[in-house]
Amino acid sequence: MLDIRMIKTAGSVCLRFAIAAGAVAIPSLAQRAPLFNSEIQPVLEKKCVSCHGEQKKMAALDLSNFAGVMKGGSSGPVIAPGKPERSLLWKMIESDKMPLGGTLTIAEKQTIRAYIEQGRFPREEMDAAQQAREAALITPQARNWWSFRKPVKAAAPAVKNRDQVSTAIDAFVLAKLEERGWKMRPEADRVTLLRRAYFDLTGLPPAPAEVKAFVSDKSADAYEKVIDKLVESPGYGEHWGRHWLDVAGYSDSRGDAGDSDREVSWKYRDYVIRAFNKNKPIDRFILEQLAGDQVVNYKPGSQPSPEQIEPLTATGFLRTTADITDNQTIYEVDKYFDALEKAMETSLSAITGLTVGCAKCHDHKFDPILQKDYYKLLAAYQAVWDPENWLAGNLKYGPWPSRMILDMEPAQRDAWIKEVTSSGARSIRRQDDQREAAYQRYRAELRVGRELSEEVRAQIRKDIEADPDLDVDRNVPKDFITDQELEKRFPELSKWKDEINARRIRGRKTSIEPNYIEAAWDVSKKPSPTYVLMRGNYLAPGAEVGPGIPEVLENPHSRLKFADPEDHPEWNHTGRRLTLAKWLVAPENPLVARVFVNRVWQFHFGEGIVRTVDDFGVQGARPTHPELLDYLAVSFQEHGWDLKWLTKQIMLSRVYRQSSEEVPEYMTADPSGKLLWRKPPVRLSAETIRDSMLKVSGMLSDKMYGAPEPVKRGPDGQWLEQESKADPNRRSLYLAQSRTRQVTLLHAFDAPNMTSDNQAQRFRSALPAQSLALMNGPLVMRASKAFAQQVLERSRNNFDEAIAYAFEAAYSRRASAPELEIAKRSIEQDADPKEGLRLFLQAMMGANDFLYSY
Amino acid sequence: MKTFLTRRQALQDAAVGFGALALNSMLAGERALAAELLAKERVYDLAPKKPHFPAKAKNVIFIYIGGGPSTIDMFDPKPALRKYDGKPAPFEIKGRALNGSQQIMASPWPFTKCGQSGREISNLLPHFQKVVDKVTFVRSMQTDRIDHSTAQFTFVTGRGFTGFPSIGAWVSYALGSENRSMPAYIALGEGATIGTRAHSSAWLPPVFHGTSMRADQHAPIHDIRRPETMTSGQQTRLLDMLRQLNRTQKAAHPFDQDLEARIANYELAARMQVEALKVADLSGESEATKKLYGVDEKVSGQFGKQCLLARRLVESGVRFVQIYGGGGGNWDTHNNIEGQLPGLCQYIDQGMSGLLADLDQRGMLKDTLVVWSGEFGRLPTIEAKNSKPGRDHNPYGFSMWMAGAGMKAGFDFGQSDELGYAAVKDFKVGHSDIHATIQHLLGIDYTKNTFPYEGRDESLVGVNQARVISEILA
Repeated sequence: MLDIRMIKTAGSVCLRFAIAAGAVAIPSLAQRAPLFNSEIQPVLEKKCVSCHGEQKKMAALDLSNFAGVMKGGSSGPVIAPGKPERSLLWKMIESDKMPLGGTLTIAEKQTIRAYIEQGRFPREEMDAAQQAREAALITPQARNWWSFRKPVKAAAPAVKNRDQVSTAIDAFVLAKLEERGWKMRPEADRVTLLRRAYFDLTGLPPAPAEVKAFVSDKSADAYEKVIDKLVESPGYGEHWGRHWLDVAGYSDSRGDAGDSDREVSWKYRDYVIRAFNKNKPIDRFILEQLAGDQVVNYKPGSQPSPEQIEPLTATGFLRTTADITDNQTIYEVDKYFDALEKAMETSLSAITGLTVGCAKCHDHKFDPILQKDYYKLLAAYQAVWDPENWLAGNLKYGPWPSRMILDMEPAQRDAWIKEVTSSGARSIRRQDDQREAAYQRYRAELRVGRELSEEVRAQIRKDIEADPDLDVDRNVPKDFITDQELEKRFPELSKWKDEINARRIRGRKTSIEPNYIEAAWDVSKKPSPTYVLMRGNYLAPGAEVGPGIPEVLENPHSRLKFADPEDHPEWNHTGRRLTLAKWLVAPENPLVARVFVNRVWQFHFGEGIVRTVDDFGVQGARPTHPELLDYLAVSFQEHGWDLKWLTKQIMLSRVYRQSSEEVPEYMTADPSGKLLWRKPPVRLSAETIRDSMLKVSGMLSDKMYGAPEPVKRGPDGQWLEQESKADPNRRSLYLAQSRTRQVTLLHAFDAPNMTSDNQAQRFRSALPAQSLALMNGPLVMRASKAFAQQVLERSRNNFDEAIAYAFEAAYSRRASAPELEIAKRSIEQDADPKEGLRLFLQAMMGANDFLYSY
Repeated sequence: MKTFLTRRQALQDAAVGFGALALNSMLAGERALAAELLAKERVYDLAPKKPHFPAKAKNVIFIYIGGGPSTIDMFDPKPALRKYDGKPAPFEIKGRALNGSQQIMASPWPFTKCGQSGREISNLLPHFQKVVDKVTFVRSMQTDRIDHSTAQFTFVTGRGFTGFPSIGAWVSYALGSENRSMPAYIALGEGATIGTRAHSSAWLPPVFHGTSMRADQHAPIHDIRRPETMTSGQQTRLLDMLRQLNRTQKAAHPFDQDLEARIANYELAARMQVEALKVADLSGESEATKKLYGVDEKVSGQFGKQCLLARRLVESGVRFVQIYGGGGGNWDTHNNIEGQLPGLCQYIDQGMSGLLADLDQRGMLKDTLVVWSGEFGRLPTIEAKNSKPGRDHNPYGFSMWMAGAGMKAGFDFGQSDELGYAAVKDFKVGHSDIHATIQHLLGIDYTKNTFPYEGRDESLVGVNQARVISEILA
């Protein structure tokens, strides 16, 4: 069984391999500087430490660690930063005077020389001027910024129109309206209200029977009962989960050069859905996502216990951002920092609504966030993304270890590791590569329209099979040529593909099925030091900083302490993220509950009380109803961060239940509806639109969880569900969501592809691409056909009844007279009345009543 | 609420066409109110916008050769390489060092002096040799990224990381479009390692996202073509029904511009269906034109079609066209450059040269800027690993060219050392300088073309150092 020590060693072996290859010559412009821990120390350890180490310490020189190297020995310092010619260390190894009886290889020498020339030699102290600047930024006023003060629950204000108040929420909103002499809109009609509730809580329209039941339920709490029912339905977790995945920046691909798939990202997606369905308290939810590994004190390399699995899976939250360090062997240091920084920035903005990114290069220009604060926060994360101890992401075929946590019996696990790193696994990999290479060659030929003779085809195959140095470029553009097209043109390809697949399956048959989680965990208890980087450049380190929180949020009387893990031998981690997370969900924290309830508000109203949901800083919008925000934040905390409770409070309010009716006078004065004088109509999300089409046409699959459904290129180059696969009609959040291969319909309706880090608020654009998708797209054709078939079967081919049923299914109401007229005309005008009906149903799915929640 | 593209547009369009029904049915007072509502909200749309100062260029065609074209074998002759051919370089060549060697390889192809400017162009590019006088070279390009994906991001978005808007999105954001039936930013073909992210709007409003289009008259844009199972009569009825249903349903929200926009969009989509198919249909082009672009040639036909389509798009008012040059194989010639580069050059030569000639003869070159570049070039040395020699990535010194609107035709700017290894100090040009220059030619002040993002006023150039390369401007 591997313990952590072995993991570390193995890790640095592969790092060293990569680096040795890169160290032959150091490119001056790419500014490639070696790192001490991963590149210099191994050389010193191998060649120098046996004499100049902790034990022997000859010439009082200890080269086993950074401090010793910098301290020097009895002849003084051995390194003059930036000046190899004046560094004793370089002089001795260059002239081969050291090591005694041996030499360093050229590569090793060059690495050390490059390190002396441009290594990271941090400045010890920040200058006094900088300290003064920092003090000047963190003023009492800065600490007093509205979102940095602890929220206080104010009493609900008195209002005139008391009949419009049924919850405290209403009083806060109405008080503002009454300042202008305004009122809320009356309650929406029951069907509108019901549809609103269904869309908001499940992302799907109600079925006709559900509408009927609600409308005929005359009891006073009929609406409340519906809410209670819906928050307990599986669709609730799926719909809320989808929103949280936006906030987290979830993607099923890595965002590296070839945008490779993240094989088990879906486990985190499922964790999120389950968390909402179980109504996991949100403070716990946040804690697990930021530091689940530390909550359960996971021991790296061990098989997680059953109760550890869930919190470990939760840390997938920290793995969502793009990480382009895969498939790369050299010059990655800046990308390591990119990945570390993105993970920190994105997760913190999701939880705290603070954008700290600006402080990477200099003190924040607007917010009182110091550059030092940025690096203190970075230090909290650095044990996971340690640039000097990097774990790669995509390691299906080895080498091992990776950031994946294997959930397997030790014996099985060792056997599997052996297998994936064996030559057998390499040969499977090679077969994949062969196929890929063949595809590329043929694709290139097809693209330039070349006819291939039999001999050339045979030659391509021979070349590929024989090439010992097979050069597979997985990034080769696929253009719009589909695999089907390719295989039609070159029949041998599909035959060959089958052959290779058969071999692969045979080759895998004996293999063990690995079970793993992509999680975040501290690679060591002692991560490399974190420095304030001048202008964000890792080659210009300034003062060293430890983990911490932004100065402006510190309590000057009781600063947040990060314990030294050395004082806690029982810890398997640094404890840094756990300390940070606990501080975030502590009752004193001014931001986190506010930010979360604001997201809940946005979830129901389309906009938050703070409209910049991810920026509660100086550049962000001010809350439109600050007392309401604080009231909700404090009540939420008092109720144990219970989301279902909060949801009900909001949905029972009169504010939420208002109609979306327009009032020209109010609209002119308040065009974006900040005062909440009505419930704004909201265009449904991409997923809801697609899922609704599937639901009303009776095609929606209710299968939950598991690996994502694959997508493929359609005939016109669109990305589509793969209909031949098991379950193409599952809800949209179960379709593979890569950064570059996004289902065209979802893309058109603004589903984020996470090419940016995360997207807590969707664009709600109205673009012609959406119209094209609803006029010509494969899904709307498929759905309208199934819909027509369904309503005709139900009505036994009675067209009038079929239309009536279609209106109930799609719009939850009866057709208006003009609508009925349109439907009838379509049926009459078409040579095939069934096709006329289908066409009308397609129009129904493309019309506003299908796309909006009013 | 963020609703893009359409509010103002719906209203403007209302005056002339499809929205008229709705707005005419409103009372005059209500209409004034609606106009006032619109004025209060910031809208993002494709309506043409005035540049910051008078523009030299109206449109851009950006030919982006992903993979790292070997410019020293194409149009950047280095006679000194002959002298050292097969010998060690006279000074250290620092490549990526994976398979690097110090052994110089001269270009295997002869160069010919061409045109009045007398510049030498490789015989791999016989068509380009004929139009070289129209071109301005920048021979001292540098980039700070050495691998494909980050260098490609850098070259189109200004940052070596995913998630930033690309140059075409920035330009569309600043200037809008002249054609109301087409998107402002169109990407033709594919070929960047980073895929569609090379023409992404990222966090700029999606209306500025580059629309992928292919040179295929049958299906140039996703979902653009009526399904085979639907007759045109049926589609007309579908659109009629959509309009009628939307009208009826909108009665409950007479002022909602978002709903109005959706009605308008079906009309726009219907127009696009006609317009895009019309623009993509090359059959109306004369034989001479088709020949000029080589659209029927086996190797160069595909790229030729894309170039011809680019001209037609610009002609129809599309602001920014990005053509990827990766379709002919892989420009990443680590091995067997001698075997690969001729085909790659042949793939693009006739199309891009035909484009310059055609734009010129139509008088379009005076307000269309054509830009050609890869993300980096290739080293003068042999990549050691391979039995058939190739060249490794070279971010230190490479060439790109621009032509057309506002450029000093026939002019060379900057130089690299005698081996074509590194740009010479005083002339170094980076991607941000190019971004600044392109925007300048379009009348955009690159420091003012900003968008609020994460607390900053972000721009294409951002915090990078940049300057307009005034030396190359006419």
